Amino acid sequence: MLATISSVLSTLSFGTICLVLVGVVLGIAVGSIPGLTATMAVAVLTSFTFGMESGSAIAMLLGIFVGGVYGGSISAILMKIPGTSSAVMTALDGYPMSCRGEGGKAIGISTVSSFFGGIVSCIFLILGCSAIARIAAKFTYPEYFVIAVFGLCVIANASADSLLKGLLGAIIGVFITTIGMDNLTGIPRFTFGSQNLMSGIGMVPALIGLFGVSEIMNQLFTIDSEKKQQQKIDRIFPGWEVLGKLKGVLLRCSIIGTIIGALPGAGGPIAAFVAYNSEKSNSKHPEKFGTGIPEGIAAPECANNATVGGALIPMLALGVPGDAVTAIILGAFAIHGIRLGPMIFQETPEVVYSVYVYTIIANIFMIIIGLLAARWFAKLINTDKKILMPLILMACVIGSYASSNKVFDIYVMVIFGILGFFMDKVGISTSALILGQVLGALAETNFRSALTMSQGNYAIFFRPIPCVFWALTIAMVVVPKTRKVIKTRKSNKSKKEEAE
Amino acid sequence: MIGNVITSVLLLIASVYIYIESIQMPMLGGLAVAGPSFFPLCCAAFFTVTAVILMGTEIYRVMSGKYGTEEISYFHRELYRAAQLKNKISSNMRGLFRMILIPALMIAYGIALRPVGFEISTWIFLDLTMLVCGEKRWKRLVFIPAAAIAFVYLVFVRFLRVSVPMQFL
Repeated sequence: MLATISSVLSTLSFGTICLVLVGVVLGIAVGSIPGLTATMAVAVLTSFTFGMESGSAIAMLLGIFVGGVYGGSISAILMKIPGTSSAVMTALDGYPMSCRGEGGKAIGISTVSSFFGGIVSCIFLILGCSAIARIAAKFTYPEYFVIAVFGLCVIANASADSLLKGLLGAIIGVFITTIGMDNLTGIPRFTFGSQNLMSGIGMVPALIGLFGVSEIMNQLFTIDSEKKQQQKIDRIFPGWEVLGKLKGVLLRCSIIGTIIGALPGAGGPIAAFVAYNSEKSNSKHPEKFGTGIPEGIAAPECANNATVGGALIPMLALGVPGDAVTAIILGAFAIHGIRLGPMIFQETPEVVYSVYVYTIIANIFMIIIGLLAARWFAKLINTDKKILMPLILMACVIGSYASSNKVFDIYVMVIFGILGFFMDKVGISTSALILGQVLGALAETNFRSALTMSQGNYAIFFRPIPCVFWALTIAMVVVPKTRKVIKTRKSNKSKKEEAE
Repeated sequence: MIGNVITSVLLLIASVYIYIESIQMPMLGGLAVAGPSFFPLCCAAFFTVTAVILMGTEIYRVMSGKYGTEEISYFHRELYRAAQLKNKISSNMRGLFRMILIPALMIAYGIALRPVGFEISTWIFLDLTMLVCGEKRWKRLVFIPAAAIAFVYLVFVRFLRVSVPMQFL
């Protein structure tokens, strides 16, 4: 143990710590730009690490990972355009808070919550890596399908006033994932013979369109008459009193994020909305969620950053990536000659401990940079809208184009923008749609693979682990509704008694 | 009410289309239990059920008389709201014009991006959108697009190595 600690400390140099800092700054910058994701940042910047030694490369990539996941919240809060799909739920409360002139405070809450989630997941990573990985290894097709159903029901409940309209948004998202070539058979579906549609509808242009373009279309209608809202940027750190009230939220959501992050394939978006819905369902004032309350920002941000540590667990212990970013980091490890998997704990434990240490350092840098830079981020919103909106639109177009180098994605973005605008007017949740798109492919592929595995026997979806998730689905959707109905009946009864 | 009715009609149209397309998909041997048409058909079924529920809810609200007040029925209240929305739109035709023009400009920007090049198409796009938003100061119309193009070039093209179709830079 002492030899391992000393070898880890020897890899910690001023140079590697600077590389973590550089990685975090780049990750935040890229993650905050709509259209550019943490995955893209890691993928592009991996090439810079080829010439570095393995410890330095790992340090920088982990910094980008942590920064990129957090960075998506900044544009979600300030512009209602999530920089990454993990920040979709953050926009629900972050943007209204920003509209009230509290953008700095919103970013502060997001930063502190992300830090807390990241650190708690690091603790889980250090203490329980191999144990959690053993449980995660038991998840196969039916388990992943049931998780996807759980996620879809939770989204639907959390993101709309009406469960039916929430589900409708989610199912529209699921349907959109069926456009393109079928994953299992290669048959084209709903492509209208177009080559562009063969690869399906991109997540990035859909995200940018639904949130960015539709919101700007809303604002374009009233730009002449709108009063300029000055952002309060005197206090970024939310204060110990606010944090004290959020301590329960932060602890619960950190655990949710770590567990979900540990499941290969399940990532930040799922953790964020499960956490959001959990807090909303258990809150004494669920009607306040979506109006700009600290809990609405803290819950998803804490959970999505907690997935960072969680996603590293299967990567280290099983050699299986927890999400797209860890898949790239896995590749980077392979390039540097490091083989991940169960034997790493015996063969090269210093690599494991290095990952722990760099992730913690990255989270520390993330909170420092986030709190220091929040003031400048919030000032962006004070820019004249006649300049800010065209620049945001340009960023949306370039971001959509850059995601896959196709002009077609720009048209997709505009169409989704118009779709999002009208969906908002009729009360169908756009966040449910995008999260349905995230989960749709997971649900379909795993459902069909599970049925193939069981030769058509549906009992496979009622194994012990799926039953736990079925129970959780019922608990998270039905119980709050039942509680609401009972509460309404009690208050009607007491009103009748008072009237008599 | 009108939103729900339009949504129901659109959902029914979508579900009919999805059903027609899905039944034409081949059912492949080993995947006969859940082939490529399974999920689309499930989605179509959900859309149909949702459309029926939404339409049924609105019909119930109109017929039952429970959702109105003593002065005005639910149906007339919803018609009044629709009329108010129409007046709001009619009184701000400029805003409506912007909402239609800006997406059109974005599509035109996308079409022009490759043949014309990023620099010129971005300059024109930014100037036109700023003018549509009401910006008239020439200094801003000149310097802001220049700064934006430089920023995108340095960050996206040079640093992140994202492929953006440049003409001159």
